[in-house]
Amino acid sequence: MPPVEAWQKVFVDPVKFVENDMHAKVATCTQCHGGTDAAEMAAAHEGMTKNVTAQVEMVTEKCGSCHKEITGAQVKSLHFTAHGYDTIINQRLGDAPESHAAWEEARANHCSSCHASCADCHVSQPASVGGGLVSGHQFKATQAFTKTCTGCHGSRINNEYTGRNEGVPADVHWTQGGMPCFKCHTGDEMHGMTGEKAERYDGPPSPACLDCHPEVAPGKGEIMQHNIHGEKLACQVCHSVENKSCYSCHVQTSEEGVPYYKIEPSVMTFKIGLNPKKSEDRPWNYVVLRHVPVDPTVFDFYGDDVLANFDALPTWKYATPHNIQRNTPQNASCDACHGNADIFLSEADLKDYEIEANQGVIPTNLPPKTGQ
Amino acid sequence: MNPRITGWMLPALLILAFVVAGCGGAAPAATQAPPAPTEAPAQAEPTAVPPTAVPPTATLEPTDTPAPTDTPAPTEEPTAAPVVVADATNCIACHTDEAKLQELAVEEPPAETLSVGEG
Repeated sequence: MPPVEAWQKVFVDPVKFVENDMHAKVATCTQCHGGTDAAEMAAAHEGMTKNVTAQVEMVTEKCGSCHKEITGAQVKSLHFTAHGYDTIINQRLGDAPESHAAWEEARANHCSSCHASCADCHVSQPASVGGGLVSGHQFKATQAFTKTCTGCHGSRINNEYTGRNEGVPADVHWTQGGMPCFKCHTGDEMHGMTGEKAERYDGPPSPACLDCHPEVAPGKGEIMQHNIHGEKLACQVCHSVENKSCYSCHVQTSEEGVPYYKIEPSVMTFKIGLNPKKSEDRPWNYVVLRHVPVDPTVFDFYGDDVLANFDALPTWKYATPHNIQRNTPQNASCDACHGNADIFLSEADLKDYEIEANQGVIPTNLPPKTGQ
Repeated sequence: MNPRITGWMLPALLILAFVVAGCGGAAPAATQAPPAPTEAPAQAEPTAVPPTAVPPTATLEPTDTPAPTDTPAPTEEPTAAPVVVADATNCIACHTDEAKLQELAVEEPPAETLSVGEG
């Protein structure tokens, strides 16, 4: 993302915002941000809040006075609360109260900054990439995805979608469709208006490939492979390619209390495994898996054996890589996939600490070769 | 005495006498006036207030009008012209002034300078 100068981050456009933005008409600067209208800078900024919409109360009171339906859902959404972390990490925590206390402390230090408020998408860019106003405080229903979505979802999603991983093509929805993120990920989804979710893959796929491509549903079209495999394989199994896996993100704070992390170098992988989220909504036997940056010691700075129940979830998790192609190495022929041990997760892909955790996603028998 | 003069003088004198008598008749009423002065002090206080209230409004005008001519603000704040809310004048004047922001705005140091690897 192009850097935003310090002055631009606080520049209020006199035309775009002051003159023409409805939000400038309904409240004064101090009514939303606090502080005072003093002429002297320090006095004016005393007690002011930069991102007002980071607080539930303010979202409800200010934004909600006009956008009640949206804000009512938004403050419970994964984007706002980031409680997907809790859903996953809580399952790995031990029963000891100390484990939960350690996680709470770590969460506050390292994960809470990942939540996205109203302003992070509609007024400014996310704090995780430096923050600041991006269009002179103008409120935009939709901003450039490079200023919003990929500010947070950069190293994996953006690099995959726009083809920044060396030797790996960009997603066809980008190269041919030029589709920004919100073409598929609607405002309703982003605001949590499609229902409360415990984590990203809770409930039915949203978005679902079949929303735009209903003709490829099994039995609905003439493509034989879809009719044969459609109920057994997630679309990505045949149509995504190498994607990024991460390992061992250890978190701690400096002596001055500044949070930081150390993560192992990422690895490009393409692994098919058994579906750990199999349900009526996601009925497939096989899905693409991605390694998440967890190991039993990532929270050791905060306590002993915090992840005492580490094996509760696989470290190779359900994934939907954003690098969809019509033609991929594994769908080049039947036997490019069938019997191809390289693309199926096996114990050989695992480190010692995660063998037990992944037993449920390692295929016991590979689909047999067909000779085609 | 000429009877013609006494003929018109008598009625005239009589009329004058009635008039004088009429004025004299009002004089007793003036003796009833004392109660009125006793009410007067009570009314004196409120009537004293307006005079003190009036001067401030009179003095505000002259002290108010020179102020705009003293301050150079109109010439140095052209970008603040589209102010729409009264109590945000200073906020907007500063935050719409590119030159001032370039002079004053400082980049906050990144919080996670010790981090290693992709985020």
